[in-house]
Amino acid sequence: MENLGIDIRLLIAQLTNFIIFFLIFKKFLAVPFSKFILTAKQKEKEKIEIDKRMQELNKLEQEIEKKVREQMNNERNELIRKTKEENEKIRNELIKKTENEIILMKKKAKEKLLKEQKLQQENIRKEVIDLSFYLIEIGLKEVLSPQLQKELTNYILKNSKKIN
Amino acid sequence: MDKNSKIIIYSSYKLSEEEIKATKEKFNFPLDRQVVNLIDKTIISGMVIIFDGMRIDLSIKTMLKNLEKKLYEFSK
Repeated sequence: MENLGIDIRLLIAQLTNFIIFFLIFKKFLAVPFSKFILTAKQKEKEKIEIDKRMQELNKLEQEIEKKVREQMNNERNELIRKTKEENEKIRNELIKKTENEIILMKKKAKEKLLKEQKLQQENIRKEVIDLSFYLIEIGLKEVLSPQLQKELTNYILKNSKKIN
Repeated sequence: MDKNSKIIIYSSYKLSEEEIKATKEKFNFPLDRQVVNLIDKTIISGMVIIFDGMRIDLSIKTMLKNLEKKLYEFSK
């Protein structure tokens, strides 16, 4: 060994050093570093899991939002439809009511007009009759001489009913 | 019937005795009952007799009025 240039004592010392170094390394550096790596890996894994859950949550939130929006749209559309229908109904009712009122007003106006016409006709008739009889009265007073009055009085007396 | 009540006759001219007598006979009035003949030109002709609460209207004016009323009713 010595001929090969290898010093046994040195080799042993180096091996001892190496073992000591290995043990120290293992005890004080490798284990904490390994723990650190594992912790980092665990954290990374948790982070990925959290991200995944977040994505799922986001997706779920989006779906819920979409559903809510759709529902709101549907409700809004339904409300608009109902409002339109209601408006149309009210409009039709108003039109019908107005038409009925117009018909009634026309009827009343016609009745009033007819009544006024009838009244006017009656008034005219009355005036004509009054005037005619006034003229007859005046005419008779002018035409009937004392002799004619006498004859007429006797005629009336003769033709009147006898009272018992 | 009141024996003292008079017969009042409205006429457009003064009636003769004959006409008064004819009137009494026509309506069976007592012949001895006194007649008051009043002139009313508005009755035109004929006569209106008032006796014992009774009124007999034989005037042309009333006849015309009745005819006028009938015409009113007829024309309605």
